[in-house]
Amino acid sequence: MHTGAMKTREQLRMLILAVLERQPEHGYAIAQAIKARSEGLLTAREGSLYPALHALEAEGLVESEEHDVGGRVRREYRLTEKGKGVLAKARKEWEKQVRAVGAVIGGQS
Amino acid sequence: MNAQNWLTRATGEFPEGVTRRVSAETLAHLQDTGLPQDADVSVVLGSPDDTARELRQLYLSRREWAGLQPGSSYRALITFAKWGVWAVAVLLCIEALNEISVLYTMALVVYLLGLAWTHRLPYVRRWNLRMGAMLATMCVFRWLPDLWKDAGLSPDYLWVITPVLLVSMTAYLWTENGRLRRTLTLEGEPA
Repeated sequence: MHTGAMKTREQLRMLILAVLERQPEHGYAIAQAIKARSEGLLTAREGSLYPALHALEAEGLVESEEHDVGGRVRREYRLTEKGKGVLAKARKEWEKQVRAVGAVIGGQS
Repeated sequence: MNAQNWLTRATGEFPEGVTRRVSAETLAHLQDTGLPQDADVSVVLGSPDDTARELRQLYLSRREWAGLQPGSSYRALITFAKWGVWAVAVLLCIEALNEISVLYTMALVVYLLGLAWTHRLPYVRRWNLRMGAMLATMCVFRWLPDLWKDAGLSPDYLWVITPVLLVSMTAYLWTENGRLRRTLTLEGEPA
């Protein structure tokens, strides 16, 4: 994934968790959801997606299972309880940062 | 760059299980994008070298994995380490009794707890961690103080360097342990 707004691995991890909060998805659907929700602002370098998913799975934040989708095998990832906790914490932190940056660049004195 | 070339560059250096899982997911992904066969997949996937670098942080390389298999020199090293690990425990015990030292007693307790905790782990992970603990203990309690003394340096700095060294070694061991655990999982072995 890469844009001026999303450069770090940590941001990609949080976006993946946020997408999986709604429902379990496979890799391609996760990439598409990020693109769609950001209105195309966050475009994908999708080769980074699977290492990030594997790392999240190793940390117990997501779990995966293979499914047959219309005769094609797809690995579906779902958020775990631990993942939900980490996402909630990251969301709070993000909102704090947005408020702080907004207060500075919003022109308030 | 077509899908096959991309995958060879991204996953070629990893053991079979890792290559299989990443290839299966990537090929399914490409199938979903609807890209024509032999299209340049790097437009969608980015650089295979970037993916290889990210995978390297997660998994052992094929060479590292081969080095852990039965019959390798590493396995022979483990045979010797089995004695060494207990010899270090005895050494700490002697030092603790000799100097009636709280520091040595604490180190001995932590070391023995570490040995007990690793007992439930699969063979290679168990001995990887135990050898690391053995080397870290020797380094902190023997080699570094001796080196310091021989170099005629002030012992004050030793109190700063020792914790830094200990934390760095623990972090390194923990990272390597994670890579090994993830690789074992994808290679279908007890992790």
